[in-house]
Amino acid sequence: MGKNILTSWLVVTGKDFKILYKNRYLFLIYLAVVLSIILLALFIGLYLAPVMLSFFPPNEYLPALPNFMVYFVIFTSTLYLMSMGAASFTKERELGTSDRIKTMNILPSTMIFGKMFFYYLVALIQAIIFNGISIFFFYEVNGMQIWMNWNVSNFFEYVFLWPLVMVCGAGVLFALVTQIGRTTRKAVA
Amino acid sequence: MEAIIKVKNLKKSFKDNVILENLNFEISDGESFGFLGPAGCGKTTLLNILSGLIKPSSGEVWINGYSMNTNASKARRFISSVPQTSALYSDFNAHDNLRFFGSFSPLPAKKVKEISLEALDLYELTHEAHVPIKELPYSYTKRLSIAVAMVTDPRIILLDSPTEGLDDRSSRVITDGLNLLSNRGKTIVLTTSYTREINTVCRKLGIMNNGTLLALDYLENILSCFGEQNQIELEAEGLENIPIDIIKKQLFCSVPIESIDKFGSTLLIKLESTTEVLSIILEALGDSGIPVKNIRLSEGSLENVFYKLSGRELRD
Repeated sequence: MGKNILTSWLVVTGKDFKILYKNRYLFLIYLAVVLSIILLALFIGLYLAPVMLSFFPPNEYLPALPNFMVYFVIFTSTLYLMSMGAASFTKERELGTSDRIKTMNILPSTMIFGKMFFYYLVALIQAIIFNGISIFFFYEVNGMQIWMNWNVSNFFEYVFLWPLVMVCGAGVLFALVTQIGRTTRKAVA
Repeated sequence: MEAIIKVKNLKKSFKDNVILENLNFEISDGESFGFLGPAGCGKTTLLNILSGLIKPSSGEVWINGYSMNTNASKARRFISSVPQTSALYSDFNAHDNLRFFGSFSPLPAKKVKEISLEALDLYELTHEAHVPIKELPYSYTKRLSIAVAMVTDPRIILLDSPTEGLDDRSSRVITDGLNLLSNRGKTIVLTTSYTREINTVCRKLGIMNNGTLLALDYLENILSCFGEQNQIELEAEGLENIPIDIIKKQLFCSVPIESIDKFGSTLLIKLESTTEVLSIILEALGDSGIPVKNIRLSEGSLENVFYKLSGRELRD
């Protein structure tokens, strides 16, 4: 092995950060879209919800609307990151760079984990921002909730679970896309 | 010379589709070797097996004594592969690509940087080193792809159709670079459907068709075996009256000739190189009082050899 596994892993992660930096304008557009959804959530939460409360009889769901909006933003951005991750794997295969890395004596698992780690970090940063927003604007309590008999804190949910879901989803999407690609190639052949 | 690549009973098939059939060959250390064959004959599959990207259905490949089946990680240490596509990060420039792939090299960073700069210079990319790959023409990315293969300082460089679709200048830059690496003792293994690459880079070649090796030998042996040496056809006045033995005696003393035949007033001379010896032949014939009327030069053609072996053209 040319370098140890951890170094190679970090090199792959670093490469993806560099690609992100090179495509920073696209990423900024993505962030702008996400932020505009958050602003919409703020608008609904801070201005519309109190107005709506005067029209509808009081219920326990309406005050929680902004929180649902934040969840919606997290969910959609996670899905988006998931598809970006899967597309990135597929692009590496298309370009042939993953094969080149493989011939440079790097284990495929090192490359996959390196890439997944990058998307995990991006999802993590995103989750921390959203968590901050929900606490700051919507006074969400960083308390505990029960998930399948487990006591899970909101922090744990944002920081570990959502990014993890994103990374696993990206892996599954990639596997699906690759399988479809193979089937198409066979059909063409 | 010791064999650095050894292939024994290699077979590869995808379900019922047989891609490679019972291949056996050895490539010596420091040799420049080419696989010539038409598109779809299994060249890329063979190269992918040699670089450890796909596993053979049966048979074995050894790289410097390490089996690709059981010890792939050690075997891959000696290899760098240049695929048919550029296989580079299009958002990165040449420096970034070299730095990224060089970071997997076991060599110290300083040495990798030295090799990178040398590779950029060798493939005439120094001025384009800061331009993103997506803004470079295809010929430049192809050259950079080979430069990237150099950064790990491998003993074997595997190249899949390195000059396919390139202009003459880029092809020359690539073949010159490969010749330089070969002179430094690197083992060059390339696949191609162009005889030009074989003639300029390879000393030894394997001719492939439908997944089988039709011939495997040194270039000059293959050419001479199939009667495809370089030849000079001379037409001279009064040649029919001069015995062939006299002409042979005169010419064999002057230049290295493989064979001479006479057909009426035409003389057919087969030899290794046509350009260097032509003036000597003309001088020798002039001294013998044979005035030459017409000269026709023809070089040995691997396309003809392939046609004789397979009964089909090398390229459609």
